[in-house]
Amino acid sequence: MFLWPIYGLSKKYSKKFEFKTNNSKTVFKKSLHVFFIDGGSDVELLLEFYSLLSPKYNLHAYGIFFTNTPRHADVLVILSRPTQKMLPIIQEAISQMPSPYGVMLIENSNIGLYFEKLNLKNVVAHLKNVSEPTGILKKLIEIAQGGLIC
Amino acid sequence: MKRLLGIIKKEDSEQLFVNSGSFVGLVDNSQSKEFKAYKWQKELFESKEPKDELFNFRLGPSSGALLESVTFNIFTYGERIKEVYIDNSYKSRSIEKLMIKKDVFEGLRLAEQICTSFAFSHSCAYSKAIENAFNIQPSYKTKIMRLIFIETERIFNHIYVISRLADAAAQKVLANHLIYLFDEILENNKYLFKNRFLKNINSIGTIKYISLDQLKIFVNKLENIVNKFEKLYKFSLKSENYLDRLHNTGLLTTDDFEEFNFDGPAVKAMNFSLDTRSFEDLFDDFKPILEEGSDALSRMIVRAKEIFQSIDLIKKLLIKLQKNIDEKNKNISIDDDQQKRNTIALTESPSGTIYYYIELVGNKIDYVYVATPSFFLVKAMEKALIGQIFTDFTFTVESFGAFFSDAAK
Repeated sequence: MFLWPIYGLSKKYSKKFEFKTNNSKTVFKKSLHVFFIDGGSDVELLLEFYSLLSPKYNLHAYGIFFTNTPRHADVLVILSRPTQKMLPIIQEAISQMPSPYGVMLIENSNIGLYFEKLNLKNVVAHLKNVSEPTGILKKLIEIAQGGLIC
Repeated sequence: MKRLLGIIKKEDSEQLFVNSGSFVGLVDNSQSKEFKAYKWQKELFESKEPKDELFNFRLGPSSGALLESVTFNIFTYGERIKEVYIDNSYKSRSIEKLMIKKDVFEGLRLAEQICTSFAFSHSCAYSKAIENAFNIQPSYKTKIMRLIFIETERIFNHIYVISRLADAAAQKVLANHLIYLFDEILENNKYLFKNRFLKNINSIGTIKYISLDQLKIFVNKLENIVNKFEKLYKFSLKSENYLDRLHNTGLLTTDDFEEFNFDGPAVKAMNFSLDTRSFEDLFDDFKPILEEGSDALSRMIVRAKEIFQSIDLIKKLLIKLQKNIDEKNKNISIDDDQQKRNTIALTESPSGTIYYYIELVGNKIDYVYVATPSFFLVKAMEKALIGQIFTDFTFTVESFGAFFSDAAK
């Protein structure tokens, strides 16, 4: 087998998606820093977010980066309807975010607290029954290009 | 090797849910002295207060270093980890309570939501329990297809765990290649079932209809992915840096097994097996994969070898299935006859055996206890972290392949 980098380059994993983008210059000018928080999910959404790191989705080419703290993030993604014990953790994470910021909600089951009753501010997207990486990526690109977060 | 799977508390009575090899069932709690695991399962800890000179490094519940919401209370002296307490209650959704008073078919969907990574294993264990209770005999085809998909689940779960481990051990290129393969398997699942994690395809007494041609294409794609994994895995073993990080990290002993009763690849890495697939009639001459190191490296090797073993098992099962594919699916209905029933069933998930103990009144669930592999692995993780330095933290944690949603339920 070749050395790692040569083996990797020979594979050409990245996939061309047919998302509507404004133009290539805008895509690379703007970047979106994302922090995700597990609301107490059954790990399906976490695994899908983990799949997004696959070279196939080539996130960085779209200017999307995952951060390790909400203080560096433009968008907080809450994965699944939260458990009661996770609610204060989520509220604290939101309070730590620099303005302007957005909150993206994703839910895949009927267990946990209702997002609608939490009165969360700055909700820029709420995905229901869309848990696949392609759907999530598409929404993140839309948010990045919407001009709300630059 | 006896295991205490759980403590069944109902009103004032208490019984022990045990597995002693040939026997799986409930025994009187007077036998609690025979199980060292009784103490921690009963939450009879002597003291959780750390010594004065230790520093409590609290990691979580939400941190960039962690995928799931969980808190690690790590008591350190300098760089050395002295004590660890894991709090996974943030993930608790009380699914066992949600199942009570539910119809058996509604219970199945809740079982799949305990942990998506083991969704099919949970679904099989639950449906087997209900089938035992109502004397429902699934067809030969259903039995074989369930085994094929349990092995498929094992393959993608093991690739995921090894990718997390490679990422933790700073093998970023390997990790990215493995994430790609993980995603490819999920896409393959979606092609056949419209669901990436094999949810909603198993039911009580039956399974979703899939033609033999579709299944052959599915298995061929899976085999190609496993072949790609084999190349990467063999190449990764040439990296001394990678091996050195995993070797002698997160060691466990047989005393730890007796105390915490964990299962799965963590036990197989200690050169003995509790794999319930050994008793499965449809597997000819099944031999569990064993390693001797008892460390993170051995656990990784067991998982990698199990991937190759699983694809071989799938191919053998496919040959058996070809003779029986034309069996028609049955519509199963269960009447609410108000009779009381108790039932137990198990399935070998990627990280250990899942046990279901269910009490039914008619077709409604009256009580349920689920013994999940991660429940025990979390305790093994706490033990394995003691004595490690901080750098080894992530390798040790990821090597167990435990999910906190599975442990907290």
